[in-house]
Parts: sequence; C-alpha cells; structure tokens
Amino acid sequence: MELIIDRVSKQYQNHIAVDRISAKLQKGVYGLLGENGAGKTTLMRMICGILKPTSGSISFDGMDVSEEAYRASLGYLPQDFGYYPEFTGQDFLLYMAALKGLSKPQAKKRASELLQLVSLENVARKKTKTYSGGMKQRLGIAQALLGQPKLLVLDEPTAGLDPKERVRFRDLIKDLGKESIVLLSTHIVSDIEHIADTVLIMKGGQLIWQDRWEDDCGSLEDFYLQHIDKEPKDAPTWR
Amino acid sequence: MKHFGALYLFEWKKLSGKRIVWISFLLGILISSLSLIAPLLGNYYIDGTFMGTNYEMYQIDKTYAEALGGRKIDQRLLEETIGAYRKIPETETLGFHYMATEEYQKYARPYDEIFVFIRRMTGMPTSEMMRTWQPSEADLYAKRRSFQTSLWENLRLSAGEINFWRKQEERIKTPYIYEEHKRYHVILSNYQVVGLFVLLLSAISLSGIFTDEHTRKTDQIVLCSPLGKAKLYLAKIAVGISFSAITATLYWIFVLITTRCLYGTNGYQAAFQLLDGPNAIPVTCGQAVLIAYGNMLAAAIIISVFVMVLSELLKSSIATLSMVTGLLLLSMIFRVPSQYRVLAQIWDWLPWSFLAPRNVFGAYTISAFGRYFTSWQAVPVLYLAAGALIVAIGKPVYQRFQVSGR
Repeated sequence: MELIIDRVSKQYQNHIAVDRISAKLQKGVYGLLGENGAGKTTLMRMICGILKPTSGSISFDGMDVSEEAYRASLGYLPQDFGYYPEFTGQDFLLYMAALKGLSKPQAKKRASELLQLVSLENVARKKTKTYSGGMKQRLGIAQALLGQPKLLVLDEPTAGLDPKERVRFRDLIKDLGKESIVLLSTHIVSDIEHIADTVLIMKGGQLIWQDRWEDDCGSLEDFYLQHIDKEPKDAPTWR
Repeated sequence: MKHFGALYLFEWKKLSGKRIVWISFLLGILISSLSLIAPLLGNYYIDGTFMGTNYEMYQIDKTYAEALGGRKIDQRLLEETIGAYRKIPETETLGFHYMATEEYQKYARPYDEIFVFIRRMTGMPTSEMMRTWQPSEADLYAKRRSFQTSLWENLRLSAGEINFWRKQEERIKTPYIYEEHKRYHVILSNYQVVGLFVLLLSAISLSGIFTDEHTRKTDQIVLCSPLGKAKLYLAKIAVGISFSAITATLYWIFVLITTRCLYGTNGYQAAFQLLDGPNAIPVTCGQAVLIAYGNMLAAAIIISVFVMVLSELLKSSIATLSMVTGLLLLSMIFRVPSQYRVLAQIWDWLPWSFLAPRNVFGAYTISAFGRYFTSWQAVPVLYLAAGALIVAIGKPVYQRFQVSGR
C-alpha cells in the first residue's frame, strides 16, 4: 500500500500554491501541519483528484489519481462542505454509499455501523438541517469511512468537535492508520502529536519537514514553531 | 447500470425536497386554470352595451354549435349561413356592431361558427362575406387554395414544399363536417401559456441540479467518489429529463381534465381545419392536441438538458434562469421576418418559440431521405439529437470541474 506524490505543483497565475512536493506514504497516520495558506488543502484536494496539479503525478498502488479505481480506495473529509438539507443523516450516508458503489444491503449495514460509531444513531432519521456543527462534522467523518478506504484524507477532522469527541476521534484515526494510509491536517498540534506516526510540515507551498515523530522527540509544538519561522529554503527537508 | 437507479432516486429526492419546485408548480397550475376558465369569466359588451355574461354567451353559442354538429359544410349550409347574415341591415355591418342587432341574434348567430370557418378558410374580409360573396362550395375551396398559396409564398416555401402541402390537402376529406369543438380551441389557444409554465418550471427547478453541488460545496465529496463523475452526471441528467417530462404530462392532464369539465367532450373527430382554416395538415382536432402534447414534451426535454448543462457551464443558477427567461420573453415579442426563410425557420423551431401552435402546425418543412417532414414530425427528432449533443458537451465540463479557492 503506497501513495506516491511525485514532484507535484499547483500554480495559479503568479501564485504557487504547492511547489514541487514529493512524498511516499505507506500504512500509518500522517499529520500535515502548516500555517493558513501553506498549501495543505490544495495538496489534499490534488490527492483526492478534485484539483488537477499543474505538474507532477499522484498514484496509489499504481493507480493514477484520475482513475475510478483510485477513487474507490479513497475516503475524504473536506475542511468545509455542506449537506443536503432535505436529507436525513441516514439518507446522506446511503447516498454517499451509492456514490461509492456499495450495494444496497452493504450500504444499509455500513451506514448503521458508522452512525453508531459517530454517535448519531439516535438522530439518524432527522434532517441534516437540524444538526449542530459538531454533529455535521461527525457525519462528515462517517461518510469518509463508508467505503472502508485504504487512503483516508482528513482536512481538519476534529474542528467543531467537543474535547471528549476529539479524544475519541483521535483514537479512531489512530486505529484506522493500522490498516490504511491516513493523511490529516489540523491546526491543533497536540492532535498530531498524539496520533501521527509521521509529521509533514508545509510552508509557502513547500514541504519543509517530513519524518517520523516519536514520543521522545520532545514538544512537537515547539519544534513546529521553530521550523515555521524559518525561510523554506533554510529549513531542512529531512531530520 | 449498477447503482444508477439508487443515484437516480436520491437525485429525485434532492429535487423534490425543494420548496421552490412545489411553489412554482402550483403557481403554474393556478395561472393555467385562470387562463382556461378566462373565456367564461366576465361580461360581454358590444359597443358598450351589456349583452350578458361570457358564460351565458358561451352557453348560447354552444347550443347553436351543437345544433350544427354532424352537418356537412356544403353548398346548402353555405347558402343558409350567408343568407342568415344578409338579413342584418347593411348599415350595421361595419366593425362588430352588427352583433348587437336583433337580426344577428335571431338569424345569423346560429350560423356564427360556419361564418367564422369560412372567414378562416379563405381570409375573406367580413364585409365581403356579408354583402357581396355568392356562396359556392367550389368558390370556397378555390378561395382557400388561393389563400393558402399566398400564405405559403409569403413564407418562402419552395415549389417542392407547396407541392407536398397540396398532396397533404388531398388527404383531407371534403366537404368538412362541422362538429362543436370549443374544448380543443381552448386547449390549443392555451398551449403557449401551459408550455411557458412547463419551461419556466424546468428552468427554475433544474438550474440548481448541478450548481447546488458547488454552492453547497458538496462537489468535493461527490467528485472524489468512484461514481460521482460519469454515473452521477447521467443520473442528474436523467432526473432533469424525467422531471420536465412528468411536469409537461401533469400539466397536460390537468388541461385535459379542466377543459373536459368546462367545455365538454365534443370535437375530437372534428377536422383540424375548423380551428386553423388554411392549414393543410390532415388531422383531427383530437389528434392535433396529441401532437401538441408530444411536441411540448420534446421541447420540455431539450429545455431541461439545455438548462442543466448551461448552469454547469455558467456555474450559476441565477444567470441560467435569467438567460432562459430572457429567451422565452424574446420568443414572445420577436419573430424573424419570413423573407429570411432559413433564419425564420430556425427561430420558429427553437424550443422557446416552438411553444406557439402556429409553429408546431406551421408550414415549414425539412427535406430528408427523399421526402418532406413537417414541423411537428421533424422538430422532436432534431431536439433529441440536439439534446444528446448537449449532454455530451456538458459531461467533460462537469467531470473536469476543479475545486479551488473557497
């Protein structure tokens, strides 16, 4: 299981959002850190195939990002997205399951499991327009997990969750990393410190640091702040 | 097409959950009802003199029309009609004032439908019919032939087309047999109003079918799912087409039921020429209504596809709605002069113009495979071909959408 990001760039007229990023991701949890505008979301969108790189390529187990089979292995939670107000939580998951190609019995079973996992089983038949921000975020996480993805991309997954839920989801993400590649971005450094096996730091569209983060490495927050203040060219790519 | 059915049903659920769809649908029904019932509402005045309510007038005319039912429009009936109208004093025959005379009410009114038929068939002025024309069955058809020739020449029809229409004319059984047909007159008179609502409802409801995914930002999760590109695109298109087809059918059923209740059932077998005198299409009024329905269905389908793909191109439901509404309004106030034959034909055959019965049953034809096809035969086929082309153009636009910014 391997996600290969090969010299991927995204340029908008005279602004480079992502600048020649290369990485090989294998089973595990990858925490993506960076300031606002560092290019995290752009990189994640390119990995999910909804934004075409200006140059470079992305493949997963030999499948190109543009292939349907690639998308079948993918689960994605965007940073900010809406819901269908006329759908119930259950409808939403069943619809997403249909889009992911799950059969009707599979979809029902998986939707029910996930609603339970994200503690929404009691409101499953209520319309999503009545859901709070946290409930919507949990439903978003549930849809990302529908197809039992081998590649899971989570953009700010713990945003809007209360502290108790955040801890629960951190543990859940850690578990998912045992069987799949999980790439998550967040501003909450402690979340990454707790669950990420590998940390990636982006600045100005470049990947300025990428390596495993062990418990004995000290404070990630201090390390991050130290690196984020350096100019990209001065920052070491590898520890 | 595994999973297509499930996606299709979910797309229907999204569409039917919108309040604007239901409000527009009911508003359309309400306005169509008013339009259908309008001929029976209000009072009837001639030169400021109250003659009765429109409903009373309709009842009188219906009785007279029914009394003429089954009669051949032959020499005898022509003489009776013109004879009755000649009883109106000559001084009263200017404008519509003659209708207020006792002679008209007593002698001529029972033949009003035949009088109107002769006028429509021949294009003769009322005064000439009332005062100088010598009723003659042979002359009626000669005048009709000359009237048709002049209309077709004005439309710049080719000799081949005129010959084609002459052959169609031969298929019409003469002398015509009169049948009361008010219901069909009302249906075809309201064809444009009903069609306008079907098209507007399609534009209002379907302009968001793709753009809502962008405004709600759900495009991100939809487009990265395995079936979110090709199959979902087709499911959305299929829902849009079904929606327009169902809307057109429901409106049409509503029109048929309402007119059945208000105007009765007579007229299905009446010759179409009783409604459109110089027309050479050899169909009955009932068949003409079925043809009109089929053509409205085709127009609704092409409009639905056009609206959906245009909205995806513009990425804006408001801009799409404005554009379609503008085109509908333009079609109502503008016609390409018939001397520009090709342009006039293209304009008349565009879906927003094709809502007018004069275009559905118009004299323009298209020649293919060694024969001529009339408007109502050719246009639905052209719409299907154009619809398939539009769907093919829209597919890469949808699939290649890039989620950026935000």
